[in-house]
Amino acid sequence: MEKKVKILVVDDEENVLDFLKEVVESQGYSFSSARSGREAMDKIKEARPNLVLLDVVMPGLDGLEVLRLIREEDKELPVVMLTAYGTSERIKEAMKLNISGFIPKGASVKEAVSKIKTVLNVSLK
Amino acid sequence: MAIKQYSKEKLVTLTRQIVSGKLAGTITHKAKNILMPITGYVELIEGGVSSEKQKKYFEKIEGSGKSLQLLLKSFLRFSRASEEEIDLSGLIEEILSLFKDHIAISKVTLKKEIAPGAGNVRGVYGDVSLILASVLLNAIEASPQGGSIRLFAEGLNISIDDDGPGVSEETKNKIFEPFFTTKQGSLGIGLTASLFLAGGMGGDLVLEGKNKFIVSLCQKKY
Repeated sequence: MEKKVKILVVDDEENVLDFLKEVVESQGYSFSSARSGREAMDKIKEARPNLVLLDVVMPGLDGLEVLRLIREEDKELPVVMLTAYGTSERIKEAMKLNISGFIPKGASVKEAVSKIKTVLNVSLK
Repeated sequence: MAIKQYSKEKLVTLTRQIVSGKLAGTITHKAKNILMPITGYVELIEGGVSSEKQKKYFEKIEGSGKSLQLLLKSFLRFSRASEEEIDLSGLIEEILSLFKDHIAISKVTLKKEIAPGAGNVRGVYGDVSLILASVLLNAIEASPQGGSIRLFAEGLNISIDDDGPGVSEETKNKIFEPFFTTKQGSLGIGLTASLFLAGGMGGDLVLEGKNKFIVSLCQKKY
């Protein structure tokens, strides 16, 4: 049996996690979530996801700091940043840390799924 | 700058506009977090899902709609001008909720303690909110990245202190003067306006030590 592609979503907003669970699972991927940067690092070590969707603005460790920690452990793990208002400066910083792109929080499901598929197609080749 | 032309009322109005402007950014951020699932679930439903899922998604949409209503209501209450009986602990929670993302973006941690039975006060909701918001913003801006802000409320007193360098002895007597600031990008009127509003309610705003601002409210009517 083919192993499911695993996607970890990191966001402190529960309603965003609930929604992205539906989107991820509707595409046949396996979903896991973390509500903080620390939890994300534990889940990455434990579940070895194929892709991380990472919110930029979070209390405690923010998305950029989590990304730096991820890159210390794994230089290649595909990470797509979830962005909202006022995060353009951080995205510029994130680009330097080899992210696979970003999904604005105003994006449609179609756009989000398209981005996820493009990144996975490249990384799973 | 012609400071004398600014009456206390003008300083309060200007402070409210500045604080509202800062809040508008974080409200937009929060609203996007709420709207994303709303429009997303609609899109999923349109794409065709089971009736069970459809019911679940409609419930989520309804929940998110209510969250958005609450968010906008809180933002509007920030400018509410009528006098009323205010539950202080509720007001504190509301302000902290509005500033949650601003605090996260500023890379500071907030530790709050609201003692049981924090008081009720009669006053203008928007004014009490502005007093608290200005002192909180002052602490956020004074705090270094990774620092902490502590808020403690008991009765009608609220203290807020931060991990910043604090106010020096030389500047301590100027801290409530209009347009006095040691922070880049700050206009230096928030504390002045807060002191004016607290004083107008028969309360006070004082600096204790180098870092701790104490707001004391009072039941006295305007």
